[in-house]
Amino acid sequence: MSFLRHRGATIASPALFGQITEAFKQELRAWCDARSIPWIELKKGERKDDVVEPYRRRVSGTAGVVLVGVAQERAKAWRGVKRTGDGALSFDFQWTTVCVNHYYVYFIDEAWGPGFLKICGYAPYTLKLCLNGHEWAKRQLTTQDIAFEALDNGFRSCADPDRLQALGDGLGPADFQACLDRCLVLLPLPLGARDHAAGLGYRLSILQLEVSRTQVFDRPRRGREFFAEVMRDQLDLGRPSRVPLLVDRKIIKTTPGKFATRIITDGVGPSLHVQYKRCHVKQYFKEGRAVRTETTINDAHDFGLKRGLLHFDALRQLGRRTNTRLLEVEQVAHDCGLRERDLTDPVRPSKTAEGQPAPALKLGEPRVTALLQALCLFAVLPAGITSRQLRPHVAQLLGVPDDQYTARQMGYDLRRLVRKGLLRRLGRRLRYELTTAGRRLALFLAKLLTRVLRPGLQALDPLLPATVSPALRIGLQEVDIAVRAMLNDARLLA
Amino acid sequence: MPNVAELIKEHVTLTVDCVDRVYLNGMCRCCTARVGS
Repeated sequence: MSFLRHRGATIASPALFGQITEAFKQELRAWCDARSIPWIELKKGERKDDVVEPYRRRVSGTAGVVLVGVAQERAKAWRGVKRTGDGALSFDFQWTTVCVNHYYVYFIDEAWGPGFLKICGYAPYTLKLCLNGHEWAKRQLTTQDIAFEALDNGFRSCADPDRLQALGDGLGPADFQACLDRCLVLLPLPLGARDHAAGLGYRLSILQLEVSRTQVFDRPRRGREFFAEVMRDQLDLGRPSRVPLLVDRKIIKTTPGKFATRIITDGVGPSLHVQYKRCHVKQYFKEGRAVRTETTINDAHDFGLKRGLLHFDALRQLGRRTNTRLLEVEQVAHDCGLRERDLTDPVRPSKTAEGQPAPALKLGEPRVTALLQALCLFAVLPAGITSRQLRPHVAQLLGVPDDQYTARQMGYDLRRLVRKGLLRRLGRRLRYELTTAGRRLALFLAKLLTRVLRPGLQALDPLLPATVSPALRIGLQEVDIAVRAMLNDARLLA
Repeated sequence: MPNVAELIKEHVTLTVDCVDRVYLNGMCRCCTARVGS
């Protein structure tokens, strides 16, 4: 409560918060009225962007405040409770969740274009600033007189793609801070200029960061083909529409949170979603013209980073790596043809560079096949996978209870893959990720098993229902007839 | 039909890596620190 002392209060009372809140509300309302800026109530459940859009279109010029919307929302705030029993009047403050008015100031910024500032009307008067990097890039291109065609909030074409990429790379914390500074100068806030001058300034941190790669196709048909192929592959590789992925923490029945891969083909456009803790990787068809691969980081701590703006670059790089890896996996899944060495090296006993023995992997052996198939499920996770998380999946693919595929067997199998250069240990932790060679081999074997061996062997077994292609079935029947005819000619049949 | 790698290599006309939405939290440290009443 040190800021109350700065304001001259001798007793830190919740009544003072109420006074600041009320003064701020009146000041903001008067500020809007003086400028004929709309003041609206935002109802629960309605999509705020849809409400604001018509007002946004009415704004003339390149910058200005669109409207102020008021919504009651939950926030972490101080709640004062009167302390009793010690004679003097005093309060205890508890950091708790309260439902208070939030003021959404929708604006069009000179450098950022559309965005909004959400102001919590009660102590500690936090701000939330929402901006869009694509809109920022559009403004920069316009300023530099470079022609472009927009695709929703992205780009369909640009006269100078290299310059556009360089602009995107140059976006940084100083640009965020500059936008906030412009807002602070423009708007009345609960903590005014006097407070800022006394060092009670706002410090920005990253609450959510979306890092995207947009790839525009020459024709819409190409985009549809891309998704048709990607979806087919995800399903064939044993990824049903909802596959729970267990990641980076012990998961028990009551563990909250979602850990999943989802493929959504309902509605207009197909999309692929991978969730890792609070991080979300999404791939979708943008405006029927481009594929957008987007990593949303909701908590920097998921990756051992902090939320401060100093970590912006690291988080952006992490998002890019994740996008690149997803696209790589999708390409490898379609072109995982291996050289002869890639197949012969793993099946021979060898030694690592350090002289450790690397036992042969018997390709086709159920345990090896199940392990590689299970690893395919985790091929895109940015933080890799632990043996504890992987073991139930391998057991399931082997068709045995979890306890019959022991941690010791799992440890041996993983060590073998590491020594063969197919798996890599991440740091000093017991966490692994597939190497490029491992990813290719795992995907190749998974596809070989699910698309060639299983249907092929099924075709050869007359007792199993015929789900193989008619051409293969007819061909095998012809071979059978020809062999019988030959045996008949040789008088070998009984 | 071309595969995914061919589609990306031969039929993509523009690739842009860019930050999309960014949601920042502005906090005044003094307003969240308890110094006693």
